[in-house]
Amino acid sequence: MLVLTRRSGESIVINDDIKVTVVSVSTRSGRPYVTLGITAPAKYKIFREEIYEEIKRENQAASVVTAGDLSALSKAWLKEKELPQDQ
Amino acid sequence: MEFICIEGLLGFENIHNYRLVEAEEPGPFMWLEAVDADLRFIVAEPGLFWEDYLPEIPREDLEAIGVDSVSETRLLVIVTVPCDPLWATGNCFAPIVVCEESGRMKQVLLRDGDYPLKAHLFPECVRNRKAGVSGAGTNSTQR
Repeated sequence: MLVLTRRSGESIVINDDIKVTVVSVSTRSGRPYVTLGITAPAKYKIFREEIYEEIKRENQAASVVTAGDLSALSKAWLKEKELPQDQ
Repeated sequence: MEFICIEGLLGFENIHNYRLVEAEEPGPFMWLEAVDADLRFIVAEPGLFWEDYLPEIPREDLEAIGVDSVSETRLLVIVTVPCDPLWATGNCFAPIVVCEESGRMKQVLLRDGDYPLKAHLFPECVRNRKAGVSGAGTNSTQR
């Protein structure tokens, strides 16, 4: 891993078309954090690293469903729409 | 109708063949079922829950499912149902883009921060529960 030290307001450039800027360095609830700004062409997908894991977990949680769940959802939707539920 | 899910769903990358099945009850929900595995999801049409859900689908994702424009596709979100179904959420951050013509679908990651991973399907119910209006709802297993 290439390790560079930057101060607030300073940047690094990747491949001529991606720029990562340290917008600010702060503390929140006693914990330090860095706010980064990324300037890059729209074709690049940029995510916080943990995003992929979060989506995997969400998909896995969503896969634990039953017919009863769908029935309950349909009823809730009809109720929200105030449509008759006597189907 | 059967679809090839390009790259599979995150967490289920080995499963590629799915079918969309109408639910027994009328409404905005359907089953997204794996053809060759014991796996299924409830999916919903996001426009019926969130009027302002107009995500920009990246060009390369549209190409992957064989279309030039999002107008040739249909968007679905995967629904997560916790203990109390009124707290159900839709994954608006990673919707499923479906093209019936090409028979392909893909779970697409939108821009980080644009739309939530857990968007409540029934925000009124959630608001009422939080305000303690109707009964004691079971808080979901998710945040």
